[in-house]
Amino acid sequence: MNYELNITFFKIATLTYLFAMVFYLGYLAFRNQAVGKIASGITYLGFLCHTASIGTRWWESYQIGAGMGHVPITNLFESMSLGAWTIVLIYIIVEWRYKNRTFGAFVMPVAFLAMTYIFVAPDVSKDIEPLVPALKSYWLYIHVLTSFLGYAAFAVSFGVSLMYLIINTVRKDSLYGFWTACLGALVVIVLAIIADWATLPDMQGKHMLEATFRNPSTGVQVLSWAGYAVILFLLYVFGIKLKSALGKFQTSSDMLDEVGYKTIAMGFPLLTVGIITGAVWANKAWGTYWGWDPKETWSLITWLVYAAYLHARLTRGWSGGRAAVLSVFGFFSVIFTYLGVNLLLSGLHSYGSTGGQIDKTAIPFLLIFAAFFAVYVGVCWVLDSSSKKSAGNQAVSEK
Amino acid sequence: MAEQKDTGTKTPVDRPQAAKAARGPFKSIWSFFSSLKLTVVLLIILALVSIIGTIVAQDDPMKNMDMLVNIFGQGKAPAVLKLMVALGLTNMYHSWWFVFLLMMLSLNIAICTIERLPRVIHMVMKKQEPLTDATIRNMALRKEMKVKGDMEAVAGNAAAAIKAMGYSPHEYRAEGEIQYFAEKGKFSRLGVYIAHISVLIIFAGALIGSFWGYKGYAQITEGHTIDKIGLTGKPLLLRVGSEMPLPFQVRCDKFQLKLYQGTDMPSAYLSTLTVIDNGNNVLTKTIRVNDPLEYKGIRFFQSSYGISPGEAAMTIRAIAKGPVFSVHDYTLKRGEKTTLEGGNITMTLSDFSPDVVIGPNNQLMGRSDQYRGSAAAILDFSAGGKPIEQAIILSQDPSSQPKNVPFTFSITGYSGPYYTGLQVTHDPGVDIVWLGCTMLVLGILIAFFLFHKRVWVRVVRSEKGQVILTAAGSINKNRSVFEGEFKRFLEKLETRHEKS
Ligand code: HEM
Repeated sequence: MNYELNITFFKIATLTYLFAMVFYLGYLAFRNQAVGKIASGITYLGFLCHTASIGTRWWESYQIGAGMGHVPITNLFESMSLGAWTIVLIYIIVEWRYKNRTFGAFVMPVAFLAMTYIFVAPDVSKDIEPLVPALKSYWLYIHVLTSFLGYAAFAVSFGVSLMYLIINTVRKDSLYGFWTACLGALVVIVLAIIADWATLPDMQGKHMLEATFRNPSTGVQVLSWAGYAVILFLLYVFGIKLKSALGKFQTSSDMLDEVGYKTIAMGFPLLTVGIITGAVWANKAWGTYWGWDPKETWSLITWLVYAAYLHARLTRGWSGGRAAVLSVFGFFSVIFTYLGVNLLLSGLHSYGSTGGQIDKTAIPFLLIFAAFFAVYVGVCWVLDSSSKKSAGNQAVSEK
Repeated sequence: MAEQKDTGTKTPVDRPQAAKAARGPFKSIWSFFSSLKLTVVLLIILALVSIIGTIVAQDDPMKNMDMLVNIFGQGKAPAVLKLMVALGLTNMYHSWWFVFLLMMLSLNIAICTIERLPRVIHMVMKKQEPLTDATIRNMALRKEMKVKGDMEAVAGNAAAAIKAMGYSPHEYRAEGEIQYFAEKGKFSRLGVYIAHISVLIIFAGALIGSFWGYKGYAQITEGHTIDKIGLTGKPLLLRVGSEMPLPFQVRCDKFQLKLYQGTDMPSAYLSTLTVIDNGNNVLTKTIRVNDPLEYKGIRFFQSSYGISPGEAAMTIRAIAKGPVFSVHDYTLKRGEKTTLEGGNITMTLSDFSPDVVIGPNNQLMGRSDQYRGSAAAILDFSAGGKPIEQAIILSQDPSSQPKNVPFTFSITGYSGPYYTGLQVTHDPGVDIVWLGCTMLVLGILIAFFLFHKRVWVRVVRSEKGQVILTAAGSINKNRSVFEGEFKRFLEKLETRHEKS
């Protein structure tokens, strides 16, 4: 007998999120309240199906017998599904609390992409697998659940902080360079992953981004970097349009700032509990509560960035824009903790990872990517400060 | 853009008053360490440098060498590795400069707390004060109304309205004035400090652990007893060798490997251990992963298992080549001999290994003590006391056979008593760490989700003889939450006054 009810629910939920995304985009485009309500309704429906998928998977694991029953958060498929579920949950809470549907168009694609990725990725098993003895611990379940809820809250804060930066910067502002660079990086990575899917039907044993930036052919690599530069240039030039489009919604920057903070105030205690329960689990499993394993360390890095965010808000000159920048970096760190460590570095947590060793070919790529990002922001900064100076001179000469 | 939002604190917390007071080197060091800017900078630096240790393998020179050879080539790699070791990058989280950063953060927290906590405690201990004409004007949430009725009745209604909101009001009377006021959650102001102090407590627990704690391992064969362990992590403040005597003995009664029904995937490793103290069996427990044994502060964790190499036996199958076809299995320990059935040949199992690989010069190298189809056995044959020949039998290569013996041999089994591999730790600081963690979570929850809320209602008679009621409220942060509550409070006040 096949226990696949959970997969059916999973598929329905994925599709529903796609529809929700379309309606939220429609709501953004036409600003029609009815469309927005439909979008929310579809989201609730998708969330119900998703919950049912997780619930039935849990139940089905017990139906298999042979002592296989367990909470479904122990392999990559289950953990991604839970990740998407928590993001939608936190989003629903924020939408309901702030009576604002603008963020839906940003959140639903994330949930949809995560779920389709995990469903079609060939080397990810969707079967219910028996638990290895080390994972049999209730501390582990609390650890995973709280960490994920924390990550989801940070994801929402990330989107909101990015919007804050978009709305609150003009081109003569170094933070403008920062958010266009972030958006550029996101767009480029999504495009590169799509290119991977399109050209490498069998991803097994391949590197991520092999179709573009890490292509064996130098020509393709150069073209990819050039494409990245073009996308950045376009964003720099047309970013103002995006800003004015978003500015048309009644989302005040005060509100964005507040939601950005409140979601971190939700996420920070959750992440703290997540790290601590992880330490309790490690202590029960091998007698060391903290071993500086890469996954642990990255979760600490994330925690430190958000602690810096909280204190930055209390410091004059660091609140507002700079705090929003920290929130964005915090979320990069979240993504790296969840995916990067498994894909690139070794660790105890590498369920579904490609192996124990560090992926050496990724290091030059990551360095170049970081350098590209930094140089771009630097160039914007120089441009902006020189334009500010000349603007200042003008103002002086006009007097 | 950079103005203070009500989600943060209202008072500017980044500029402690002492900084502006007396100058001098001590004062300037003090104000350096009490600054919030230092906190933000330190937290960011700690986050950034921690990244290094996730890329450079810690305490694993082979892995680092591999990586460096890949990046810099065979020639330069050793020099780069030397540089990395000198900078402490290969044991980063214990390097002097990382510890220095942690000390800076600790000082920052400590001085910050000394600077601010007394003021906060003073504020928490102080009784709430009635508002004066001047102070009431500074309240952000305030509403003034002229009401009918006499002062006593109006004030009584106000007190009732405050009670209805779940506050317990205090009364204050002066000439021509009655005030009722109440507050809630003033102790929540201590939450942040609980969180800060807990970070220091966690550090203290970790230090105690590294000074007096140790880590080790032990392998106990079923039925055997140990009284010492090998050390992998040494305490900083105790002088010990590579072994550590235990203050008691531990016996392994039994080891069990449980599989998921119908698969070969392990579902549990179970070791039954007995602690023997002063010759008495004091404790018996079956441990498994995630469920260790603890006795006198020393904990034993299930970590590995295997067949005890010293007592293992290998089963060799001998098939007679003819004229009479026969099959016989012989299970022998290392060095044991037997006479082969149907002949006068003696076979000695001189040596064996359950898991070998064939090295570059065709020599055999033991890989592990797991039996998985790559075993090797060395057999010596003799007849009438005279050696015939030596042969090496390999699981992977059935063609490796003796030439002068009329049998074909193969390895069909590997057995013996199991040993259980235990990780042993002693960490006297761990409970302090958990105390700190609990406080940290509590402190953060209090800081984020509990607020200090205050309300006042002041009733005065104006010169014209009118009764004027002023309601005011304040919250230490998160004003948007309180605004709703204050509005409901005003509604309650107003409805009561329509009645009166
Ligand atoms: C890892 C270390 C630290 C942690 C986990 C931590 C945690 C926190 C938390 C959770 C808050 C509440 C933030 C909010 O309400 O938005 C807070 C506030 C604060 N922290 Fe820290 N903190 C740390 C280090 C420090 C240090 C070193 C200082 C020293 C300057 C400091 C000074 C403050 C101040 C002044 C506040 C505001 C207090 C208030 O609201 O009155 N913190 N901290």
